[in-house]
Amino acid sequence: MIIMNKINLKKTIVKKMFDAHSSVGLAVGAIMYLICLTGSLAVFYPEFERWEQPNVAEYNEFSSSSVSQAYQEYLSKVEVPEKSVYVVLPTAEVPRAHLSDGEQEWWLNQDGTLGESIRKPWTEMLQELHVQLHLPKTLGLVIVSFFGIMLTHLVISGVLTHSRIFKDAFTLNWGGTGQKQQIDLHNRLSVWGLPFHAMIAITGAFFGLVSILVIIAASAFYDNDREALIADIYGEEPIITNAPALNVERSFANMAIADKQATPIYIVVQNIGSEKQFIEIAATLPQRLIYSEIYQFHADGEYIGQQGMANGPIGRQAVYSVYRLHFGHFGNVAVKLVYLVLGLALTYISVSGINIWLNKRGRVDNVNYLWCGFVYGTPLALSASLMASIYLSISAYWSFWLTLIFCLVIARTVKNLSKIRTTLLMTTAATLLTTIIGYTLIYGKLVLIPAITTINLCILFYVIVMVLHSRQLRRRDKIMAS
Amino acid sequence: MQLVAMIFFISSAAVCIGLSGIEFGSVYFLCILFILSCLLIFITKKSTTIQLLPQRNSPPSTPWSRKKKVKFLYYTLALFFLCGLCGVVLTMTLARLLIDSLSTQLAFSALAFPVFWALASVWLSCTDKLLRTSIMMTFSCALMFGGIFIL
Repeated sequence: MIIMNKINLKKTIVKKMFDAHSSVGLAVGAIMYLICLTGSLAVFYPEFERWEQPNVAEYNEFSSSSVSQAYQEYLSKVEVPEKSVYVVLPTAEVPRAHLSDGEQEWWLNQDGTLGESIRKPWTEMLQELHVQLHLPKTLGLVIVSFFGIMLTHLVISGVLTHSRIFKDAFTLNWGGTGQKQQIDLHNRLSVWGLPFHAMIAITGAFFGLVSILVIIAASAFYDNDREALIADIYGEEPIITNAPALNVERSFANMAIADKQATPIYIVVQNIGSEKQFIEIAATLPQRLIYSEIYQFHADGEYIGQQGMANGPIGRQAVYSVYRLHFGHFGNVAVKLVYLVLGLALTYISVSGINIWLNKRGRVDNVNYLWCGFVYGTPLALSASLMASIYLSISAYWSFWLTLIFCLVIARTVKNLSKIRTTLLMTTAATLLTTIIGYTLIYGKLVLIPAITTINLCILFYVIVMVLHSRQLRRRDKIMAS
Repeated sequence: MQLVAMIFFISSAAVCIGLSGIEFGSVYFLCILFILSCLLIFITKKSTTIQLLPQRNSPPSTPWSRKKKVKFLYYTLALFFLCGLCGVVLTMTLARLLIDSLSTQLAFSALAFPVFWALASVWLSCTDKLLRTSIMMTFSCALMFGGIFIL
């Protein structure tokens, strides 16, 4: 009797979890797909930035005198300088330096003179779609972070729903109509990618929603002084008065003495041109996930100390490690590729979750057509905005949303799943192929730069995958019809 | 067999951590685990010709009643505000109880609150008694909020 009760209780819990998992999954699935797909691609944003402006000088060495020259050029160019002015140094993935004041950005020539303004419309569109869904910044960030919470919810309820988690750990039924294959892949990818998905969800939620915690903690412990709280977590800035003239070269020389293992990634002059100005150099440390350690200097280059990101309180180190962990920007290119695969796996999970529900409904209506149009229309919209930003200099934002809406209208009008899929897939392939051809014609020999060639080859590979996938879908449709 | 798998599992984690340090190594290990398991799944996959799954034949959807609309709106708001507050306050109370340094308490809270938020939302979405659970959550929130100041 007790055993029977236990079995019934377990069944009830699993049933409730399953209902919670499916209702939340259905509510957030579409936006989750958008966030996951753009996030997977955004791992490669430095490479896309290079691809969008291939005609910028590339180099691996950028001397401290060039940095100094860049600041002089900046000060002579702008009338009122911004508070913080950054010079981001060349790295292996982006072998070009740039200067940014938060409002404007320029590429830098190797001698430190200002080059072209940075123009990366498509990459910017992609990043903003992932981070804020093209909504006003704070609102968008909070909403996207809330989806991080919902992803954590789905991870937890998904695990509790899965009663055969260990028994079926390696089971995959492949082929046929693809329905069973879809369920198996949804479950297997979710289970094995669980640590990654949980990490992405938690770190993603952290970015936008930590402000709630800041408000409560500031009122509880810091007399509503939020800046004091942030300084306590991330470390304080030095208080400078009567700052001497700027000497960037000396700060770099002192930096090399202070920490031999550190690799500088950017330098920032805070309060530039004022009596409070000082220098900060951010540098990565080997085998550390922290975004960077920050070394502080007086304006004349005299060493003040480090902010303690690498050796400060454990909490500070943990919080500052969140960024690289979420973006996948550590180690080498293999890590980025793995992040791409894991991100695409999460994208597949988002789509297959809704597909499973749609298949179980036992009917095909407008929801199916619109969902199909949305899933296959998003890559087309991304491709179309890429093409538009290269050929026509049309806003990448408008071209993305207009194409997506167009795809939904087409899907609603055609009312044939097989036709919608094939048409959108083949149009995506054609758009990308046209983009590559046009890009080659516009930039000529520059496409031979290894990094640019690699991206072009990846796009071509994706085109082939699209064509093959289209054939596979046609085969499945035939089986379904029979 | 399970013992061999466990030994292999632990030793590969140790190799990754030994080669790349605890931070990179643990991430590399989890990534490799995913890739290898996916490979194994694809190698051992079973090919079938036709797989027709049972369908529910659910009736066409009808417009939502007023009660259902109100419930949906309440659920959405509670998921964001009530569960959010509950998650944040619970994390901070736990941090106050378990950790000494204030900055580490805050860092722990910042990284752990999404989990507690999600747990609260799982609880809310599973319960049949939505109102009673919400009242319990509100009450415990008030209690823990007071606790943060007292501790």
